[in-house]
Amino acid sequence: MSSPMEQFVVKPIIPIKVGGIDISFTNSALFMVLAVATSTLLLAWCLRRRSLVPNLAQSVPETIYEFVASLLRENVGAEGLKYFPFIFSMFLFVAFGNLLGLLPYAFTFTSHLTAVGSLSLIALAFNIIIGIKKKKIGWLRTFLPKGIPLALAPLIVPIEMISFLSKPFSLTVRLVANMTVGHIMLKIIAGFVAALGVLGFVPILFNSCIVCFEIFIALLQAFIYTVLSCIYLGDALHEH
Amino acid sequence: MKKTPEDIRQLEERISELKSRETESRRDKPESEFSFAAKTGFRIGIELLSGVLVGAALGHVLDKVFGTRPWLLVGFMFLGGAAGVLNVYRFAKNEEKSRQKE
Repeated sequence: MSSPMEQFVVKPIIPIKVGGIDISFTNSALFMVLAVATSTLLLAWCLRRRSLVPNLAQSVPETIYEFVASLLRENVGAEGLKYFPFIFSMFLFVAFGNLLGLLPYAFTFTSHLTAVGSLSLIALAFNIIIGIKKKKIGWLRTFLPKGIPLALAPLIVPIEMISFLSKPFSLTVRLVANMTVGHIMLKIIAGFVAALGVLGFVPILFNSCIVCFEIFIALLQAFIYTVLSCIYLGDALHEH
Repeated sequence: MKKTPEDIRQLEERISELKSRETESRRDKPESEFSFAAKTGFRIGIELLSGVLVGAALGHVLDKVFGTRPWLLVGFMFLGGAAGVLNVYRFAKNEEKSRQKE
């Protein structure tokens, strides 16, 4: 029987090597491309006939749009709507990554620390750039909040720096842990099907319930990831 | 079929009625105590752990740069622990504020 961790192995599909660095096109990369392609095609297909009164297909992208826009308005404020494209793309990318990973034989790139971590690092870089653009040199105040005696600065500044850097990390771990746990659980319970013989239908029933639950978790985690990046963006634009 | 103003007025009435019904049905179901506790506990645990891990990683990198192994690693791990507690404190403060608002 295959191990429950086998589904997370990154395998190169098209090996590419540039100057000793392995940049092969892997199954992880394939599913990232698929996530982008399906989300783009699906939204484009839904919006192919645009009318003022939306039909069923058109109302789906509109609902997602309204949903992300209200998230931004609540967590960042009206000025956050400037960064709508970034947040919207991130939400779709994570949501489709989670959902595509649930298909049989699929690879879940959101269960890898490196993949989600890179996404979080982009959000971090975005946050720093916006913060510096908005507050100029005052951005450095992030690391030394007002009202702290200067004598404590050598202690507070490293602590605030680590706190600042650990935010994208905890953001990443939460998404990765949820996706990994769900997929391992599915595989382990599926392993019982063969072992139990005639009674094998019990784990099958149980697994079907878990798959439904996993669809919910996939969307919920994409939502949480988006909310936290919104809050993160809000921190860059406002004082604490 | 052409929309007359009467139609649009009726539609608006229906929309506002459905909207008020929707907010009502959402208000009736507050988050259960268990799911709130599980979510918060998980969040706080990760927050504490990530502080220490990021501190340790930073210390390790700085150690390599300055060649002071292992002192910066040890020091930054403690600072990381402090940063984790700080994150949890901020999170709890925000959570309380949003709960009071309700």
